[in-house]
Amino acid sequence: VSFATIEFLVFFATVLAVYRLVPAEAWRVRKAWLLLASLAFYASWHVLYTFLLLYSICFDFVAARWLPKVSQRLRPWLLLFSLLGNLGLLVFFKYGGFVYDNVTATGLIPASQATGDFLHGLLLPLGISFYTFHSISYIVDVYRGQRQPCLNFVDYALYVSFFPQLMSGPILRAWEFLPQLEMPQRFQSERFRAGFARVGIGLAKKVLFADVLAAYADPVFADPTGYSPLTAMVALYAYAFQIYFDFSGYCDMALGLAGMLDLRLVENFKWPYLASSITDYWRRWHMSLSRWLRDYVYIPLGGSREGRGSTYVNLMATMLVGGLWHGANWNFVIWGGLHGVFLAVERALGVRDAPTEPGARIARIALTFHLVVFAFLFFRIQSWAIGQSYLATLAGPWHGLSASDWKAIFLIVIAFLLHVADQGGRLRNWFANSPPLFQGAAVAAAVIMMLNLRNLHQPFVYFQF
Amino acid sequence: MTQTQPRGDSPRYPSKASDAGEVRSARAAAFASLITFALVLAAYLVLGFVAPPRESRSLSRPSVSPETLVHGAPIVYLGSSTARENTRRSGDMRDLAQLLATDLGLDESQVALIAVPGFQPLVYRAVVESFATLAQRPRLAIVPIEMRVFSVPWGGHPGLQHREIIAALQGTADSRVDRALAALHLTPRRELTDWFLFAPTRVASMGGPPVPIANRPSMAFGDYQRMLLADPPASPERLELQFRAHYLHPLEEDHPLLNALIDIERLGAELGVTIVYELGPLNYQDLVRYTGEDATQMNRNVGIVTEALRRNGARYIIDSLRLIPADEFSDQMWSCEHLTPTGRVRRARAVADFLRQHSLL
Repeated sequence: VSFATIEFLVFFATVLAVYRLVPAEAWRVRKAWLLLASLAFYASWHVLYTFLLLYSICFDFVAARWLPKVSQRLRPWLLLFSLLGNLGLLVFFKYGGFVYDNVTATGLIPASQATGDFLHGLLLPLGISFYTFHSISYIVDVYRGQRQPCLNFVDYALYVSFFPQLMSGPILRAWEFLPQLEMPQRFQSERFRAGFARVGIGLAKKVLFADVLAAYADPVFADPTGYSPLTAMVALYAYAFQIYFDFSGYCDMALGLAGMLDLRLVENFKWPYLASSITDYWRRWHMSLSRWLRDYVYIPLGGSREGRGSTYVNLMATMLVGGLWHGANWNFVIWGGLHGVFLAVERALGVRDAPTEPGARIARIALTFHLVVFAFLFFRIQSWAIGQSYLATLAGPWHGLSASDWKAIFLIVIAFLLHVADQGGRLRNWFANSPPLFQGAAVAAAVIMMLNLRNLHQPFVYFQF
Repeated sequence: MTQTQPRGDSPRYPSKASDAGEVRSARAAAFASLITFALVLAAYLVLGFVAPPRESRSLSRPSVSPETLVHGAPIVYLGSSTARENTRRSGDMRDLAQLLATDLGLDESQVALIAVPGFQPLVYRAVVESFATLAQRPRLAIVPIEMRVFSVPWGGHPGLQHREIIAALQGTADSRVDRALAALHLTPRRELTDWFLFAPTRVASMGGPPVPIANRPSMAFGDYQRMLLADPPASPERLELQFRAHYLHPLEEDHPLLNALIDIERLGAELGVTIVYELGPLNYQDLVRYTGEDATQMNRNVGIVTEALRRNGARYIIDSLRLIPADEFSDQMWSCEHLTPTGRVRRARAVADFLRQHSLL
């Protein structure tokens, strides 16, 4: 199911060829084909869990259809029922073991080896955090009267399961995607070419940066002992760029693939390592998640409407939910908590906006970046013991850099320069408009490198969430 | 959380073509991009046939596949460094599989050795799992059990090499797609990939939890490692500590590595591969000499292992635990299972005798 594999490229070439062979006027057939392809894509990972995805789709499709029809008194209950249906799945599969461990640790219920083994042994359905959030946003929007329920099952099913965004987003709002399905989307050469270029960019990000940096950082995070503090530090920066190039590379490919199929997804990144504050960072990093959290957690909690203290509490609660969304582990809670603290402190100090003076602005960008990197340490560690070991390694006796460290630093610097150079989409747009011969050859070169570096290939980081 | 809306931008596309000429031109550009893409890939494919890539499978992940490991041999001997060629680098250099083949009167290709450095049942489980993908599965797998594997300093932390081997066995190494790509000469080109492969290097030995020493105070991991790596000769006190650390902790019945060994029996039954366990020889004479009556804990541990295996269907267990006298262990300064050439021949012969007695050939 990874985009950066030869199997997926063959799959996509087939989907695209059939899609293009169907006349644009037969829009329903095209949509049905895309839905079929999306379900096949998911089933290629796990057939049984495809039924779980279908269940989720059917459940919310029906619930949303019912919402406007029931009495005002019953509507909140129907919403609650739907939310429990969605969140119940998520909690059961993703947080069951975590909740069980923590509840049994308090002694409220006796621990059972069999129950613990069962809950920990559950295979997490890929993309469940994403498609559940799709569904929740849709049902809440219908409940709030912000949009009408979708009447076409294929459209709704495609909204939830469209394969470019099924596994790791971006998290779409129904009003961003469903209207595109209501009328035939015509082929636009520019959009197709831009999509093709975007796929190449995403693939290069994944293959040339994310996977290579992961091969460097992974051993250090697996067991930090014995490494020099400098190596541990380089590995931390390597991870920061690994996760950015991995996730943004995935999103580039998702947007590009959708574009080649005449559809649009939303942007998920906006050069986050150039943010001048943590507040700004969350306007640039995983934007579709942060706006989801804002609209469905932060604002319903009261947002900033009820005084300073309440605002800080809401910020912290929202970021803790955001942390926990990433995984059933305390390290994600700590990571979310750290960001909550950063946001609250920024708000308290009134330093959320970027300074105008260039020197101060650069200093703020540097500070923000290093806070983000530091927080990533807690995001990445597998256990608290490893975290302690990592911190001890960072404080250990000094050693010089090895040739491997220098190579990693070189790649990180290149990654950062590309990040800066692309600000405002300059590189991306330049590549989308570059001469066709150059563009085609460059994308082919990315595929060739994918073939050559496939032994380093790892699943996209956000697939695990 | 942010106050202002972090809304996603719409994708930015080049300006729309406004007349038919521009539309044609844009279409031609899109078409040219795709054609170039296809031509470059085709050229790369042709290059593969004209100048096949050098062998470069030894990338960051080892090239491990059941086919390359087993080569269609009917008998597979899983093992650690103790099963490889002798560590003294002199005398009989044959490995245990070769010795066993000789004892059985078989061609050496009939017994395949799958030995990784460091004994690790998790690797062997992954290897046996991978037999499922073989067109011609082995008939018999001999699985040694080195009792030290259940000790804290040994078994709890499979090294990175083991994780990589397991990942390779469970992953895409030599999958159908790999084979198809290899047939098209689309294997990785070392000249392209070498630059991208770099791993961090350690400047000190790995850390770990304190090492429990049976009936003695625990040692810090670093102290224990230094003791192991100290120059010979080893003092009796040091040897005693090693024996205690490696063999004399009460074994828990649900030890994950014991479960891995049990899984191997189950997998063997599912795949039609007969599993023969071999309680690997250890320096029992020295164990008793250095630890006295405490050595009986070792027998209790062995009982737990054999009982658990038999309870889960194991029928064949070779007991070579006390087979080798102390002077046939090659590393006298460690509580180690490497054998001299004489000891290796003796060990292989015991396996061969067992297989013959039970008509397993």
